[in-house]
Amino acid sequence: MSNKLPFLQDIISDNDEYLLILGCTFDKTDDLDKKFILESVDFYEKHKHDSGSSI
Amino acid sequence: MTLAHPFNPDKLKFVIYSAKNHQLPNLNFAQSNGEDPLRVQEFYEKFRAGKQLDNELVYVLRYEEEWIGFFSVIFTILSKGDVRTPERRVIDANGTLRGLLIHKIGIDQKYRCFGIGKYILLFCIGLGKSQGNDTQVKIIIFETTRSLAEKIYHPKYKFRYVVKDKKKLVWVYKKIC
Repeated sequence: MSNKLPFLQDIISDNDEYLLILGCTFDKTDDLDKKFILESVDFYEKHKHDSGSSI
Repeated sequence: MTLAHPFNPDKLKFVIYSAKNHQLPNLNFAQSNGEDPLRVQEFYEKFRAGKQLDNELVYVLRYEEEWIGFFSVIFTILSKGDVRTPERRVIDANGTLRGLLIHKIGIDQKYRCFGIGKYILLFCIGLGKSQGNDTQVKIIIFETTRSLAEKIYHPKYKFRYVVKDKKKLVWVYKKIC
């Protein structure tokens, strides 16, 4: 897929192949993060079959 | 808006949008002051009118019998610029990481204040985590207002953010591995 998405360019500039994140920092994952991520996985598992429903 | 029963997230449905199968109603995505700094309404009208979106997947949200909002996602590859990353593990050996960009999030004005944004985030993080090892998503990123980032995403869910040029908007991101 193309990585040249104009709406990303104010945070991210491209070097023809990839996008750059400027100024991001990452914290170590702690217990709260892990809990949130586990909750996410459970929630997604519960709802992923909605996706193809023909409403 | 007052619901007949307490809001129940189990009743949310996340449906992949298809112009062929879904006829979406008029919804209002402006802020309560009428502004729409993230241009969500414009985006909604565009895909609702059947315009093609490049590389983008749109989910529409239903609650009981009503359409209440949408969000769109893009899988992308990001690479390290002048990034100061204390934890290098999130960057692959070749200096790249796979990310899930939530391009637009829209919740109809009537359905604000039920915490639906949180459930969209939970779904997207779960979607990112569900990818195989080779395509595992390591960062979730989206654009929002600085005010929401400061009041909700950072204090409640520990998302970090980078202020954009215009100062009112920010990129919010979270490592999910």
